Amino acid sequence: MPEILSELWQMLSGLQVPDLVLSAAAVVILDMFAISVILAVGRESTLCRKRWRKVSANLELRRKEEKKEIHHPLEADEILLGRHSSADIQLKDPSVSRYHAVMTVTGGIWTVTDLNSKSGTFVNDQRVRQKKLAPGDCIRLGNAKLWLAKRPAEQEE
Amino acid sequence: MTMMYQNRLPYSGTVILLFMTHLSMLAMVFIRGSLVAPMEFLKLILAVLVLDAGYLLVTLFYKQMTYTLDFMLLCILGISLIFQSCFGGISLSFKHLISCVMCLASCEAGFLLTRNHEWIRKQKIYIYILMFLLFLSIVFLTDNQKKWITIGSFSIQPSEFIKPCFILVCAASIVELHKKLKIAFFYISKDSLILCIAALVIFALQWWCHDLGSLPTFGMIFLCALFCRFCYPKAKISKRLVVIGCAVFALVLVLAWSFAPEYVQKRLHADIWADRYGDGYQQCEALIGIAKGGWLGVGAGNGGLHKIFAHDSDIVFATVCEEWGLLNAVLAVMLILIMLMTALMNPPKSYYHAMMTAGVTACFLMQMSLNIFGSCNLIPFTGVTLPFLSTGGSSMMSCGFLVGMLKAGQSPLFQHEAMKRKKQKERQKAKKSAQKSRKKVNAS
Amino acid sequence: MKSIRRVQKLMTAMLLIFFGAFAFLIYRLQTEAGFYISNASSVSLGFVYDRNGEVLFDPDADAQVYGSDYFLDIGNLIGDNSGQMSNTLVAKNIGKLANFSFMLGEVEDGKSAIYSTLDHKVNREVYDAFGNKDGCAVAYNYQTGEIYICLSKPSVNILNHYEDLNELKSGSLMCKVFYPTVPGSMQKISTTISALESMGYDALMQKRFTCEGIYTNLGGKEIKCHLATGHGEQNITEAFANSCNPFFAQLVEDVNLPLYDIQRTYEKMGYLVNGDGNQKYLNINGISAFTASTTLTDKTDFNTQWGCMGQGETLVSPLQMMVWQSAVANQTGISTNPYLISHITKVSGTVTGQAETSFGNQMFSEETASHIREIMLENGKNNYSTLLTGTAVGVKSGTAQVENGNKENSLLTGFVDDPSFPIAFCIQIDDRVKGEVSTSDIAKVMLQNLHESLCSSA
Repeated sequence: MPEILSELWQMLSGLQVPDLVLSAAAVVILDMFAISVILAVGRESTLCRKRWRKVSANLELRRKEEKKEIHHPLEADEILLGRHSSADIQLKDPSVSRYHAVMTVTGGIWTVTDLNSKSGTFVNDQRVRQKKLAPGDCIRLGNAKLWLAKRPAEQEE
Repeated sequence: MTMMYQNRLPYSGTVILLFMTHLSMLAMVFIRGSLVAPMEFLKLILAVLVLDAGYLLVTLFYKQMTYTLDFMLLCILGISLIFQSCFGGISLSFKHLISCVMCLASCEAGFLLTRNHEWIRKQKIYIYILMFLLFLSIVFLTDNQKKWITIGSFSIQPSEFIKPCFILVCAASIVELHKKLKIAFFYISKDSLILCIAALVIFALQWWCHDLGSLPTFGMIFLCALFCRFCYPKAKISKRLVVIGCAVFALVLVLAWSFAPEYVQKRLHADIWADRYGDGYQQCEALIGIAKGGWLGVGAGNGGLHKIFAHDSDIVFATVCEEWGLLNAVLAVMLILIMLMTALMNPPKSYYHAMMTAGVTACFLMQMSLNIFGSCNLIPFTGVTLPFLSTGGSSMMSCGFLVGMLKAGQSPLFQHEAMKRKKQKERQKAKKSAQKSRKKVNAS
Repeated sequence: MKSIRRVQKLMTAMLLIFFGAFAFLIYRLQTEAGFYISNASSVSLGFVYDRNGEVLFDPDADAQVYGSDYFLDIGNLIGDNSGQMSNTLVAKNIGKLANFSFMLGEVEDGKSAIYSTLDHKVNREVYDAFGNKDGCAVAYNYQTGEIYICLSKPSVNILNHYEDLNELKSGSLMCKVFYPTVPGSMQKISTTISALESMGYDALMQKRFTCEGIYTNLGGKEIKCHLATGHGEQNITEAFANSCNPFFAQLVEDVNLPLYDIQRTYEKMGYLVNGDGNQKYLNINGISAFTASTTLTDKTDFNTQWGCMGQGETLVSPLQMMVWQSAVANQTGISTNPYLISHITKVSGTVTGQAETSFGNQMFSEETASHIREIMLENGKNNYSTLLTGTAVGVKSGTAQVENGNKENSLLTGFVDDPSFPIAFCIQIDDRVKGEVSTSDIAKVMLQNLHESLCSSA
């Protein structure tokens, strides 16, 4: 370590002052630019999240599992429900098909579409193939129940 | 006067730092560089500043959610222009300036084309046709199994344009997986089939025109797509398929290794220092150049690498290292990496865009690895371009398009918004035509 | 959602891999920059010094300053930066000699230098002792590993700048110490070690075989002894001293010494047996040195028996023979690794690369080591007592037939049994005819001068 320091010192003392100041300044400015960009991306991502809330009507899916309530935020415009581990929302109930239903959103309105499941998809106890959903609706896939609800305010930041 | 971007976020700090970055680099050219022709240097300053200011003004009219990628692209292009203009003496590289402008334009084109994923998904047939046309152009238009199409004094490299197309084809095939046909033992969707055929054709064509350098890039994109295909919800992950896939991949690799043409074999097992003045010449000179440059470089225009063939494309990393130092070269590469990392901070909201972003990341990273590690003798030297820093209009345009695709993933246009806009436009049109007809009526 | 997160994980993984590779690249560029720059014509190179500060390499060497044949004895060991020889100290360490560092760039009057462990003065005296004969000699400290003497004759005078390249004798451009040679009877050390490992000392001492000048082996071939009248009945110590071929042929044939045991001990000692695997090489500060190889197929086979006596297809490098002596002399069965560079100064003057003593694998047991040491000391006491007055020396000589028996090389290897002067050595004289300078003459010059040089300065 000390030899690196001594070499660093020799290098720095060997350079002319404007060279050194300028090199350092250029590097620092480029770094600052990078940092400012990263901060800007942070702000943008907040903005995009806000916009997404508008697009997705700020809804989430809730379900009960062993007396706990689990929240599933809806963060893509296409969400797959099913038993398979690669499904976006995995429901481990044997009555749920591997790829059971898909939820899509346009203009703040969510739609659920059944994917030829064996046990069927029910919205408010009505079997459906495709149906537009409203906040408060209950979706039942086989024996698994999910509620569509507004996201709580504290998660909005 | 407050300049406001359409998303109403403050960007003044970033913009000022962008200018300062370019100015500090120009100052470095002034003090440490070999300044022989002051007029040329003034031209360079003017070009950089006009490019910056011009594009920043243009972006004011852009309607999008995120602007950081625009700023970063502009920053890296300015740096690239300064780098390219200083190789072996300072004079503005007008050709590279044009390339930069084309890069910015194609970035916007890429953004506009891909921001509405539902729309672009429906246009896939045109992408397939475009891809097919590019294949045909490679077969029939290139001169004698080379990768270039020469038109007058310009030369175009079609394989560069295949990259964005291929990424779109990959993304399309991922999303449309649920429509499946049964062929022999496998359920396969039409689009996956097309993707596989396209991949095979690309590999065959690259082989045919001795352009093996970009093979790994396409391979990486394809692997990325394959990986996403296995993980995509609607794909049935069958272990058999994974095993067969791996086996086939390994087999292809082994076959490619053993049956590769002699000139490839030579490259794979080359000890460059043993062939210092033969095949290893470029790499040896590049490494010596990097060593000469050290951390801070010898100063713009003072390097000796500009005498080497492909100093501004294949071994551009070394040339930059020599003149500007390893520190600055690393920072420039970091800037490209940060560009890719923005996609992680601001994730896409649809599968199509997610796949597209992954494809772009794979493409850029592979290309950078091949160029940088290749010229530094960590892996065989392939002679591909370094995104943004190498010269070459085709490469710059395709890189710009890819950044546009990245941007689309971050500020997408959703279908209902597109419909709204369309309706608005129609209403305006209707109003105008109504006014016109009224005027006509009045006139008559 | 989940799939998007998965894609992001994939992207993160790719970025991390790239970061890792990039960091490695920067590290490598930093550390290897000296080597890169040494290939550029502009950079200035530092000197190589011997242990007493004498110059061994000067990039701008001039006959008027140093004398016309000053570098002759180390020409093919230290070498130069011309690129004519690749397996030399300078060629292999040229990156460390370059007056350059990644931070400072090229420094005109840098302090880069290599400090070697060699003793140039004694090296030269040994070189001159060869007279008009060719050959090679190497000696090192078997406790620390410092190589004091290493030379190969014919050598090349680098001050002539290879203008006389066509007139040079073949072998001038390589240091024979590092290359394979036929070991002759010195191989009997390895065979005795194998027998000790396999049978144990007591059983081996009880073996007595008769030599009548010619022995017809079980395969029906004749094995001749160098003494046509025969040595009569002997035990291993006497046969070792007599270097009696019929004895060793019968030992190899003995039922209590399975061929497999010999092969295994040989392999442990670094031999490549029957081409089974890869040839091993010793690395002496970048210089690659051959170890040993042989072919042992069937214990009644003529060639196998010859192989165990150092003829046939057996090849060993003089360096390896010397290194075995360290395992014997230290009575550990573990060899001391030799080195040529004591330390290096960087361009800024800081000292790095301080040599440290390192050891090889356990080749044979400590017990075996001490018994073979006794056998060799006995041989030294009876036949080579004049090598270094007042100090016991363990020795084995050998005569190797080369070029289909047209020429005989004379070899000698051994060690000095003195903890204050722990030297192991190996000497070879090419094509020696009776009456010419002998290996023990050269050993005498080497040991006495080395003793003077080392013990007076200490």
